[in-house]
Amino acid sequence: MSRILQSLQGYVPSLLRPISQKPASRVSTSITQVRGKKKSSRGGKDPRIQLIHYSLYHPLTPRPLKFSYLRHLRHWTIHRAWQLYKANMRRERELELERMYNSIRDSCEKLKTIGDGGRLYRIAISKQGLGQWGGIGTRIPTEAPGRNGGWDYTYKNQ
Amino acid sequence: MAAAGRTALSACLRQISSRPQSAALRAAGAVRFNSTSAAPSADAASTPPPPPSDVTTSAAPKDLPPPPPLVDELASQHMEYEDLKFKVQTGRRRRTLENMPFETYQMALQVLKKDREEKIKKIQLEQARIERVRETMEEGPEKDTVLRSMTRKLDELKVFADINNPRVKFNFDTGNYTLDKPIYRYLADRKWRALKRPTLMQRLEQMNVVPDIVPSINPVADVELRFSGAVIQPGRILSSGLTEKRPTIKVIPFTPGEKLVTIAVVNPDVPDLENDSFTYQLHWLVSNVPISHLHHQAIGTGAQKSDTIMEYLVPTVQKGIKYARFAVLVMEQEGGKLDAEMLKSKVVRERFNTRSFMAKNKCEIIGAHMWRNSWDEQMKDVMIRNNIPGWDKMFKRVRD
Repeated sequence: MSRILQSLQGYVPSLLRPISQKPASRVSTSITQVRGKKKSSRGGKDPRIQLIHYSLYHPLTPRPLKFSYLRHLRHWTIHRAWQLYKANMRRERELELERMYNSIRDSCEKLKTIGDGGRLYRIAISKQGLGQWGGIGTRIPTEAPGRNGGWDYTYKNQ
Repeated sequence: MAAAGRTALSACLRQISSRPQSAALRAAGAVRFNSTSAAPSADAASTPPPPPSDVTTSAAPKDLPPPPPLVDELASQHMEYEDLKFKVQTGRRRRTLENMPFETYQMALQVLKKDREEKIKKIQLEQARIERVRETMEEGPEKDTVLRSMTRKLDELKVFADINNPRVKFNFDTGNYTLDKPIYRYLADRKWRALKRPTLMQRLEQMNVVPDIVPSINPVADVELRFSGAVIQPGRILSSGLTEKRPTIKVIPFTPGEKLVTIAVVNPDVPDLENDSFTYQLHWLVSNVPISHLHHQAIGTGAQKSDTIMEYLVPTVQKGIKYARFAVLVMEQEGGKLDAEMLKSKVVRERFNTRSFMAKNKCEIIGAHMWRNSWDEQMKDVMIRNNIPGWDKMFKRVRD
């Protein structure tokens, strides 16, 4: 057992080291002691601050954007144009949806007054078959099968 | 984002304009130096681009009467004229904000320019609508409401037309602007509300100027106070030597138009020994100060003529008093010009009541500032110089 631990020592340094040899916690070297200040057993700062430091100064974290004024102005201009373009696209899409909705509504109104007793209108607004577009194969994939065992034995391809 | 924005911008450029220019530009990988016209760059360099008014008046809606002359309140989009002058002089083309040779940036400029043209069309439409309402609608409160809301919408559109312009941002950031254009008024107001106004409100509230002198203050104009040329941050404790001479005051309203204001400096911390309390004192009262969005100086060099109702009384604080607050109140005279002689005969320094003054003279506070004074090394000399008694007395707290 002790041999195994010794072989591990190179990798896990804190396993075999006696307690007294633990790396000394960071202690204030100033002579005046601040009363009432708690000494944390680990030493150092608040873990939340440590976490922020870790993520802010991690080598994989990209450096903050530091631009000269003109470069920042170009960046800003491009950003504004891009936002404008996106907003225009969004508005166009909304207007198109609105146009389609209005068109459907007008068509239904016309079907209502066409003089066939409302038959075509009823067919148009019936919700039969709704939600089964594309058949069973287009079910939204999920992590686990459905409640009914995940297999519809009564299903027949039409 | 840059790569995505670049491809998407090029895509949208392809959508909005089927001009061969952008395709050639991409293919050659070169950057054109002309961002304003679709003509070849050689022509563009030699012929001046048409003034913006020609561009915009041609795009008038057909079902409406001919639009009024172009909004001269919009910021100029480009500095091409200067550019050309420079070319004539030196034979070289100067680098400007509009011709910086970066492909994505140039594409972005095209997008923004197209959007601006659309906004200008909207502005003209709105102007024509306002004209029509003004001519056809019956007089009455309803018409005023309609016109007010339409004008507000028009102002918004004018801001929207310029807010994406890098030239405008550059001018604003470098301080090279005046408040004659709506866009600069908007930007200046936004900047003031971001830091200066909250700071002022914090000082006024923490030092209890707000419930002590007036029940509430909603500043809409920036007030800049200078003693001996030094700009004073609100709430600072100033040395008595500095405050011995009157300050100069700038009032910066962010709405257009001429205004008449009254400026008062009130001290709410004068000890009142008879009642074992504190009372007010008026230190300075100047009425009928004309200011506007283009003329900010209310008092000081370059200020227009105004009526001093009460001369500046040197602020003093006796020994033993912690400090005294001096509130500068800028009040708009909503009833027009005040009668200076009448005020001179009626206003008294001692126990000055700001609220009743405001109510009697129809004044409304549009801006405020404050500073503090305390007993310091120079205070005795200042009091002796100005014949103010009390420099040899000290206040002590009495335990009861």
